[in-house]
Amino acid sequence: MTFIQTILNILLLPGLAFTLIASIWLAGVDRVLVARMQRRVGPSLLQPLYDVLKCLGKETIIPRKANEKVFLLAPVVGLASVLVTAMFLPVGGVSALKVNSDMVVILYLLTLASVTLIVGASASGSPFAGVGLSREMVAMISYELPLVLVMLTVGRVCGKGLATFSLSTVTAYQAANGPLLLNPVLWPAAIAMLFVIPCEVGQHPFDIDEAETEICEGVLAEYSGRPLAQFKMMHNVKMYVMSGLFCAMFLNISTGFILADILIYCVACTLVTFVSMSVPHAVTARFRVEQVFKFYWTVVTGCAALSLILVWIGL
Amino acid sequence: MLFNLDKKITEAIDDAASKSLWLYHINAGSCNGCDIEIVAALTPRYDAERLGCKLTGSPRQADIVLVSGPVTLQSRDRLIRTLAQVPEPYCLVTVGSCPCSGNVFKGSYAICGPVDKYRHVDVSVAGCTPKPEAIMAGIAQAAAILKEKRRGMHE
Amino acid sequence: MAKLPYLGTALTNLFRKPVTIAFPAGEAPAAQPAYRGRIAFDASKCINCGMCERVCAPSCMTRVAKPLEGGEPGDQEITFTFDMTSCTFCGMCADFCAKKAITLTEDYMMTGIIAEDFLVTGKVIKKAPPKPKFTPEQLAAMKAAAEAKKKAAEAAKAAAQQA
Repeated sequence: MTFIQTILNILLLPGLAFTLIASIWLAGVDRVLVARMQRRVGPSLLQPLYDVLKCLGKETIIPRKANEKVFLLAPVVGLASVLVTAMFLPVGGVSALKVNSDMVVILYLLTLASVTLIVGASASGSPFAGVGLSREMVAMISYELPLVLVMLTVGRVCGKGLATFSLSTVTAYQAANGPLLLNPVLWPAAIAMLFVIPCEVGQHPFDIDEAETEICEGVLAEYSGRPLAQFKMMHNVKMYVMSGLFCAMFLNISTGFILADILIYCVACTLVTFVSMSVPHAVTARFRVEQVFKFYWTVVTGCAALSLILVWIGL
Repeated sequence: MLFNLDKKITEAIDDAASKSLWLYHINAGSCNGCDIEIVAALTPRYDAERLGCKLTGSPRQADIVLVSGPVTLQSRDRLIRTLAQVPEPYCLVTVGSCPCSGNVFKGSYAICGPVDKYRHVDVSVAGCTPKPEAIMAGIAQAAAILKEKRRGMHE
Repeated sequence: MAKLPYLGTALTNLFRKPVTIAFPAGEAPAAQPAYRGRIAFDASKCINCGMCERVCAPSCMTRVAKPLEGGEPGDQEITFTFDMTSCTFCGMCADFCAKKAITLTEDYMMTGIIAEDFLVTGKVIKKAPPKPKFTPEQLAAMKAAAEAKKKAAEAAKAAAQQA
């Protein structure tokens, strides 16, 4: 029975089906909200799905200079890694996969997703992709440090004296003591996390690696057809994973009823997407490379470090 | 297969071909008038994103290629090379009078147009410059053609 | 810290109506007054002077003359074709048209798939000038006869004076 339940968990509710639906929903809501903030009507809610389906129906061109195997396999690995990341997120207190320190696993799998972008870009043999991948690396070292600091902070708060890296412990702590966002000591960490989300996903003001007007889509310059669809889907799923991670770490509200919990989780995810991705997209222009680096290593890391220090001295 | 699932997926993909239109814009020696109107079609007043339009920076991801300008000697080879990199199915839409005929520049030694000398043009939008509404009507016309082309790929 | 000047605008816009026009679903908005759009050609007013063709910078119009079928010998059917893909909409042809046969309408929706979608044509029938009553030979003969008569008259006059 538990075996069947695990399979169902992986395939349906906190797993594959839920992840795909939620990621399409979040990406669609993001685009509609950005349009509404710019006083436009905007595309339909299913637009990200149409984009992915359309890419599936197009010809796949493999450049002559590309390393074919790596070029085609990188997006598959990337999509798989973000889908596996989504398995660790607790939805209504249930997660499809559980390990002892799943926050570390999530951290590495998210890095893997970014690394596949870099590997795929370097395998495509295009100079634009080369510029894009160097920018993606800069973005990675910008957001990794604050992300780790935020995780350490949350782990320390929930870990009772020790830092825990288990999301289930974090959610259990929040179920008992209320969401961590109510703790003022953790507000700087939450703000840092809100800034980490768009950079990790590659959303507009921080999409320096995919700057379509400067470097011809950057890392995705040579991708078309099916691999492009996989990368676009990876982008959508990453959106869900990051907002879900924020909800799991800061906004886990449990009422005791699993359906209500799932509903609250979905609403919270949408809210996080709106605050962290749609609003910066609508109001700011794209950052320059060194601006992103400077911003993350001063303001965002500073916020995360402030929370960390406050927590570790025992406030 | 189960419930004709493969057929339904193929239909959904065909349907999506006309709902997600990524635009790639080639300036073949244009005076910038048409380029500005293309960008104006994406502004809040006209909002081409309702049709699923999005500007992309790479010809590999384009569904609709917008060409403006009379195809100058310098841009001819680049135009042909760029169009060769667009994956099928795609639509070539010419914006303005210049790419269709050469406009006031026709007969010049530096003009190698019109575009249909090199590639089949699917939809032409005339005007000097066309209004954004006309460009959007052209894009909508191209979307219908795109769906037919996508159908033709697997039939 | 960076300033975010559009944050307030963006958030209030969420609760306001979009400014987008209804166009691809609804009616296309009318152009501004005196907009120079698609050319309209009224063939009944045209006198075939050819001034429009002379002033057209991109030479977008063609004028083809061919004999009128079923007409008098010498009648011509002249076809004016205005190619909208070639036009710059400068309005010179309309300004120079003496009979105001060419006007620029406010229709700007010019999209099409084949070249014929963009052509504005009009046919003018040019009548041959009325035929002269006499052929040149007859005229010459008449002239010769008149001269002979005049000479005869002069000769008669001279004979009368001598007498």
